[in-house]
Amino acid sequence: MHKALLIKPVHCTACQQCEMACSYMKVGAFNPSKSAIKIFTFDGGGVKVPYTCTQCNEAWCMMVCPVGAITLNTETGAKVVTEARCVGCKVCTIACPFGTINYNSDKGVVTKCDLCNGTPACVEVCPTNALTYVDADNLNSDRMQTHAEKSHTSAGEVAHKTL
Amino acid sequence: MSYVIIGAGPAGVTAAETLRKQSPDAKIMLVCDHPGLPYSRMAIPYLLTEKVDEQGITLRPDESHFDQLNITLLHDSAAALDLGSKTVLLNRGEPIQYQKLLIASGAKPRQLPTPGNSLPQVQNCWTLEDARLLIAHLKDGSQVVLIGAGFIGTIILEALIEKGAKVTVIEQGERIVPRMVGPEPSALIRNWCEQNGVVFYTSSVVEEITEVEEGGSLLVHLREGEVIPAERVVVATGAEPNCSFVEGSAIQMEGGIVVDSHLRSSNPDIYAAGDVAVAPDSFSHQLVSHHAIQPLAVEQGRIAALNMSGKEVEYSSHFAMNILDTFGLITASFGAWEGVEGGDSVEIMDSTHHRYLCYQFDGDRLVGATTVGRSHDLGIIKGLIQSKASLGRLKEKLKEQPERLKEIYLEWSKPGFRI
Repeated sequence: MHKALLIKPVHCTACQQCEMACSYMKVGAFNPSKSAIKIFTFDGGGVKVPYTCTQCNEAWCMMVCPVGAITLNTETGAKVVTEARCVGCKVCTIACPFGTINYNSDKGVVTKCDLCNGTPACVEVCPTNALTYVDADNLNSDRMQTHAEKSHTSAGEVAHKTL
Repeated sequence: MSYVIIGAGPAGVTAAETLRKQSPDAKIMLVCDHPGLPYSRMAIPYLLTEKVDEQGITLRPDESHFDQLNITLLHDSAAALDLGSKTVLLNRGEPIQYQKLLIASGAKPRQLPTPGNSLPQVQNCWTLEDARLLIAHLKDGSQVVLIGAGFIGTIILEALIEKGAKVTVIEQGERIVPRMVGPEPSALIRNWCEQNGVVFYTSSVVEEITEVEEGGSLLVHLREGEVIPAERVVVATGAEPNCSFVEGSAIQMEGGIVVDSHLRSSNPDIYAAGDVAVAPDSFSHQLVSHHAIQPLAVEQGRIAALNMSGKEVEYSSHFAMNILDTFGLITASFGAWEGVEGGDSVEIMDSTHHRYLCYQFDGDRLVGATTVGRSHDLGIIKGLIQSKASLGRLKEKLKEQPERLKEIYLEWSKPGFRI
């Protein structure tokens, strides 16, 4: 049974702990610009929205990788970049319609959310439970459907949702 | 069911895998025109620079991948088709029969119509064989003339410089990467490359290549009178569909194999995908093949396979997308980056920092974009273009604040965020 990242923007205070924790996992430094999860604020800070990869089923990034450097972790459902295999061609970064896989020029490889191999650091540090890691079945499929239709992906392709 | 796929590039391999997913018991034969495992031509520059070895450019890292999926990898190439008996004639082996056929034989480099083009020091950089040859002849400080500054030529350029070569680029057109970006971003890239030691001749035509001595160094003679010495010449003057084996059959051809919205050719049992297929562009509506674009090849392979296995799936997003890294300057373009008739656009140029951004709109939809000097959130541009998203009032917001694409995208995709 896969688990998925559940994002509840209404609880987010934009404290950026998730960005800090994620960048520490990714590059070993507290640097939000290297984080695979980002918080966006709207309406002058009144609305905060954490945003990251949905681990979609027919993952564009995984499908287009010319060297098979992005693979499915069958335990977590995450699409994971094998850095040693990635050549840094960036094709995945223009193929992912969500913009959630990006090039890291320091490392010469692409970076995306890999759910930290089943223990997402962003969830661990989130002080308000805006981010939780829950059974994928518990996600409200209607909302997923709405998001999927807007994004022109199939409902099954959206692994996380936003309440 | 018996499926035959001609061509083991990204389109063919994706199609074979998709067919297997759809039909666990079908017979799937993948005809691969080179020895060894299917590999990725777009990864060749990284082989040149030794970022990866030959194993590192295989499309699927696991050597037993095709065996595990019970996909027969046949090392041969198509010679002709017999539509009546549904047979593919091969160049070496016995003819093979199909019930459904996918032609995904890709493209081949256009040859230089110039005296001296067949000298052994003149080569393409298209196949693994080409790459091996180039690696064997490149030394630190080698003088290389690169003919063609299109997208592929420019990718090779980066690798050549990284290998320590001194490179002079000859481009027939007025600017570099002419089919990827407009004049202003093209000038930015050129300037950046010149700062990295590349010499360009644009609006220049190679008239002849001669040897100083047999088997030795070369002289590249330009129509304009210049003569450029070179130890090696690399030709990257474009690509054309690799489907001579289809010629003479009843299949409709128009600069490639014409396909319908289900990637079916004029023959109901034959499909085409990748560089060999021509389909109406999403924006210009003209029949085109957007060559050498991995995401399109993969998507076409997947959709063709779904249709071959009886699922009716439409292929609707036929537009170019490219990303180019020249010495750390990242350029991307998407869709109708030149704009559409009656459309409007927003453009930001910052030549000091080699940054450029342009969005093209048709009504309230984003239809094309060019970015120079940025590497983040590029996929969102593709997503918005692909989904033909009606941006409504957000279009004006994007025109006012083009740099805030991601916020505007989020607002569009999840309007509930706004209170």
